[in-house]
Amino acid sequence: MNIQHRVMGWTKRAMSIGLLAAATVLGVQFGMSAPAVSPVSPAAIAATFATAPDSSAAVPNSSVAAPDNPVTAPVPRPRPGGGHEHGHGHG
Amino acid sequence: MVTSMGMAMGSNSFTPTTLRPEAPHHRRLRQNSGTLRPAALLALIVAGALAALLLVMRAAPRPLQLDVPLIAHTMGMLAGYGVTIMLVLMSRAPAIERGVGADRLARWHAVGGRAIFSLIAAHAVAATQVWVQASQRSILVALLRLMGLPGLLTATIGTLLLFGVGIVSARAVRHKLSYERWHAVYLATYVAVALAFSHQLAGPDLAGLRAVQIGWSLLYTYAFFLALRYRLLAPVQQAFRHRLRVDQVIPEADGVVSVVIRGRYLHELEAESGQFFRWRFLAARTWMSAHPFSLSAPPQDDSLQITVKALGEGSRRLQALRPGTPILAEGPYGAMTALAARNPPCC
Repeated sequence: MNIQHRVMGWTKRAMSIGLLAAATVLGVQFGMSAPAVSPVSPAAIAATFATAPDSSAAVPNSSVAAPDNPVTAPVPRPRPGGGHEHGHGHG
Repeated sequence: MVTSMGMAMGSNSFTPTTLRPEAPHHRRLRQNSGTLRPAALLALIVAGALAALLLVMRAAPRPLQLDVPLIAHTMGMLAGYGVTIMLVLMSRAPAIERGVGADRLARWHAVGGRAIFSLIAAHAVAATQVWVQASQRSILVALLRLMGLPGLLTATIGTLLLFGVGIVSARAVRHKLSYERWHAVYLATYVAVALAFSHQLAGPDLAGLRAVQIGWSLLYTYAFFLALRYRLLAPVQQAFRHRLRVDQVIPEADGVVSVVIRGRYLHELEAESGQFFRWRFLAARTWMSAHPFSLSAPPQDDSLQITVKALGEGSRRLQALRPGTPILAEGPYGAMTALAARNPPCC
């Protein structure tokens, strides 16, 4: 009976340790994959609406046009005369 | 649950059918049980709440102003923290159940639950107001845009679920529902808490602090771990190990029966007189609900006994239990023991 009791005790401990390890791994993974910049911080909220000229154009700050973002950077319009945007043309 | 516990405690006044002295190794084994006293648990809870407040203060703009954004952050952080405390209090972890006592835990849960509903409501109203003010659009347009932010839609669904559970748990509504129906709704709490989790990690008080985000995530996963371990796996484990079954149903008085339960290796449960189990009798009409009943006779190596008075629908059904009915039991719980009487908790 003592041996059985010990085996049962170790089974319980093993189950607890296994679950605890799984909870630890999950917790660390959730924490590591959490966003570094909050989408609901006061600065983010202000940025979201500051870039929107009207209500229909207001977009979440995650897709706000940014000059250094190749996906959302504003596309330069061609000049009527066919000149280059940065002005260092052919002279 | 309160009704059932009252019934169980009342059952001690009945004459037990088989009164034998407690097996000596029950007393020996329980000396090793680690418990958490109420004062120690309260101190831990308060320390955690202060840490959450410190995080809010750290992220708040200087000089500190008690404005709407600060209220929104404070309420949100305290609500997010408090939800995990509620999960832990109701996890049925033996160290907490034995040290604090199920009745006290239930009271703390009731008070804490109401406080958390208030905190969540205050957070939602204040945060929405900040968002609407910043957007300078109509509330409808601002809310639609708000729902598009990461984690906000799930958090809103979680909040609505939580308020649904709160409404169903209110005294006026609760007594109109059967325990089984109420409990089915109550389980939605776990879904609600999980849905709101990602919104918390993206909150401005945690975002950017990797170690704190990991710590906050661990708080949640450990709370769910405790509930899974002790609410779900422990009864199944006990069922396989102890193979509890109804042995006899003995009428004691009109509407009162003693149920003698047979099993094996029952000394491993370390049950004491004065403690209770949550019993789920696996018969057609009783399997859906677990009822708390105190032991009405000193526990033996091969048998336990409870005495049940027919006070409600569930306890009435137990009067007709048949010998051989298998049982899932959670426990033992409760701090009303001779050992606790000799060493009373400080509060």
